[in-house]
Amino acid sequence: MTRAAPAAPGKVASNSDAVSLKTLRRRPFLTMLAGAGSAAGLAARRARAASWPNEPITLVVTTKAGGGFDHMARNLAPALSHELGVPVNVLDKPGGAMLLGTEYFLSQPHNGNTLLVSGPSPYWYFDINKFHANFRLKDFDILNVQWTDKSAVFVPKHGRFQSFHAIIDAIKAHPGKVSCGVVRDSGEFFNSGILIESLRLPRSAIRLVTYEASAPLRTALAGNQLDYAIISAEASLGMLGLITPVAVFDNVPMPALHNAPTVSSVLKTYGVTVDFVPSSMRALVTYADLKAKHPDQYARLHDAYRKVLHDPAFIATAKKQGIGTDWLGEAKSLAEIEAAYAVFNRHKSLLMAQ
Amino acid sequence: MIDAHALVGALRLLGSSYTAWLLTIPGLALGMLGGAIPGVSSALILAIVLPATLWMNLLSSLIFMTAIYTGSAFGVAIPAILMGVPGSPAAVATSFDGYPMTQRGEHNIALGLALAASTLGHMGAYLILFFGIGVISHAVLRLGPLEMLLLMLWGLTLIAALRGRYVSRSLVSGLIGILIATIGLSPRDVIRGTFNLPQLLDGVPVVPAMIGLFAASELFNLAGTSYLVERSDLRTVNVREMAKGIRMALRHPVVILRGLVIGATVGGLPGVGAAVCNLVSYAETRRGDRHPESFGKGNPKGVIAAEAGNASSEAGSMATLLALGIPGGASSAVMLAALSLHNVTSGPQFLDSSKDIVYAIILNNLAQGAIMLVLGIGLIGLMANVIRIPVRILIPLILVLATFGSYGLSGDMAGPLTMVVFGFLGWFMQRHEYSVPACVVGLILGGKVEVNLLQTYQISGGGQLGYFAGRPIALVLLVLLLTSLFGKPLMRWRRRRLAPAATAATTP
Repeated sequence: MTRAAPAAPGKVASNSDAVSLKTLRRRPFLTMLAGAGSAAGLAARRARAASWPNEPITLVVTTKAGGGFDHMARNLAPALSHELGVPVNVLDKPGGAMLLGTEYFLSQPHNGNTLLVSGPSPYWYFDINKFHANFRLKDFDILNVQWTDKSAVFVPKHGRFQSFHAIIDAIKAHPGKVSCGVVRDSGEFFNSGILIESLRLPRSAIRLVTYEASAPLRTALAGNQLDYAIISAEASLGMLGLITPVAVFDNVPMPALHNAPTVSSVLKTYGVTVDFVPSSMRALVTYADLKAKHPDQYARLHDAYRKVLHDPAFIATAKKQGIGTDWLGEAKSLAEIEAAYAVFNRHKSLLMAQ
Repeated sequence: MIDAHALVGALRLLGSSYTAWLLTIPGLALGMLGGAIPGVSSALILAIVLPATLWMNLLSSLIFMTAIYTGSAFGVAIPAILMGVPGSPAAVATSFDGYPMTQRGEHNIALGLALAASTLGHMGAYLILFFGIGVISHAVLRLGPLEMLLLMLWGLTLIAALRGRYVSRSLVSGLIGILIATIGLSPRDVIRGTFNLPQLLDGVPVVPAMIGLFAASELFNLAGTSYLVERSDLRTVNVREMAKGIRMALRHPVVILRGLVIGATVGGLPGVGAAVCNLVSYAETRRGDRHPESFGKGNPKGVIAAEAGNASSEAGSMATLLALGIPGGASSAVMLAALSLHNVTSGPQFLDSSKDIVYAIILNNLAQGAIMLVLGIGLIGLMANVIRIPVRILIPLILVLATFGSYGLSGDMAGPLTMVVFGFLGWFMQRHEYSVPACVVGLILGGKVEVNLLQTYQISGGGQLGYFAGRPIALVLLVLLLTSLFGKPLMRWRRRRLAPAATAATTP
């Protein structure tokens, strides 16, 4: 079998080249290799690591397969496995606004063999303050908030309003006539409420339409069913031809969002300042008592994870897939989560208002 | 409408990349086998193969994944027809007439019907996509919450149609299903009926509940018999009969066409998909038929309508995925992840810049239909042997399979427990002639109806009539819905009123 399959003209051929039978047969082998970790290196590394880790590690993900959290975990697993010398498996435990998976994680033996990929903000805040979760923030050691997504205000391409100014003016001039879409129980739901509160308007000033997930919301916005929507910025990048960002909930404009102005800078012209929360924080988490109970495991884990997030090759492939690779470390991660919780607390009345 | 330059590019791509073709067959087989196991969703299979697609080029990986999707859409029909246990909400309507056909010994024909309807629905919908992917995707965008609400109400009217001996009991069953669908966090964020069990916050898991309702109720029924097909002379696997089923499906092009138009448009809506398409297609075919009462008792047209609606929804969701970058369901969400693994952001820009790839996917899927027809005959020939297994062996086998399936869906004991609880409910309902399918329809559509009702209320500023007046599609849907509900009784009433007048006029 010759490897030289005629390369097809056009863009596909150039970036992928026609895969031949030879590479096809190699694939299962490569998969096995990647899955098991290189066997020889494994033995050597295991000897070096003395006792821990000596069995597979599980990354519990609190969402269904396919979402951002699952994506982050599946991307992290092989890299961590390589560093730690044992297989790292991903286990999806979705349900109840991340409550089920998080409680499952806490019910496991408190050692380094089980890790959690979850959303301290906003999901745990809702779990704790609304869904009667049995856990608190202090039950966890947040190793790192690896991926923070921001919210942004989007309008349909051919929508009634084409700027954030126009939206605010219309809400003020015709209360109750402008429709706004958000996903319920999300950071965006809070941000939409905070926005209206800061303008000193009643909640009925906008027609708030709540969606179960962001895909139906983006569809509705692209179809010009809504006047504007507040959605997570990253998930919306693929739709920029159909929806237009007009403001971002961040301290600086984002180049990927056509440098749309920040919400604060627009509101300043109305003499108003606003709080906001991030769209979602995706963090790698361990048990609060791990550091005291198994300091060696904690140190090994921490170092391995930090090394992964400082590996340029890892960062490059993650970036290609749109996965965040921030290294904030423990203290800064906790500080950011607490800052978000402080904003939630200041606007707690919104929690039950949906 | 067709970009000739891109079409030539697509043909070149397909002509030069034999990997893509090589992957089509295992993809289809994997999908069909997985689909045939209750509880194994196409999204699950796709998520498992996702890492492997990293080593394929973009076109091959998309073709491999759509092949799995295609295969699975037909695979789910097999247990629905042979055992009355749909493995996914997408095949619920298939079981309505498919299973009674099996009981009559017409399993070969029913499987042939399903295979042909699935294939033709799939190919037809992709053909629509080929000529107007942009049109389809934009048609989807025209549907707001009000239109979706009306479509789902249309599906919900099936409750009254799926009756046993008593209409009232079937309405009660439907209501039970709708009530169960309200358990959990409501769209308005009120926690309802969870008894403080966090497992119920997301509501009752629909698929395990559905498997329990159908499987357990049917299995208890079967316990007294020795074989699925009572008459031993009919207990055969016969390819000639299957071919007869395929030919029979070809005689109902209107039914297939209706199914594929519904699938290609409604199937692309996020959160709607195949689960609603097969019900709406079935409901519409039943209502348009001259003998609606023959449906639910083994009418071949029921199988055709359900399968055409189900199979064509893949094309609908591919349209929204590729043209808009919106995943319509879990399966297309995994495909979106595959796209991003290849550094591609799907959406309007992708459609413009890579139309050759899009065309190549569509053309390959047209071919997938033909390949599936061949592979499918082999598979159903194999699977149909289920009818030769004595019921005393079959029942434990199905129960074990269903339990594993529901465990796989939830990842813990919540799935199997749900299945058992709903198994008892299903048995009780069956015993007292409360329609189980009506309950399942309520369970599947109840939550979706509520979400869209709330959104309609919110978006119209609390139900202001001006909003409704400005939505022509909704008004047309409403008229259609009302006509289909009250048209026939009204005509009958008019005829009865006119008849005496006419006789009075003719008599001097």
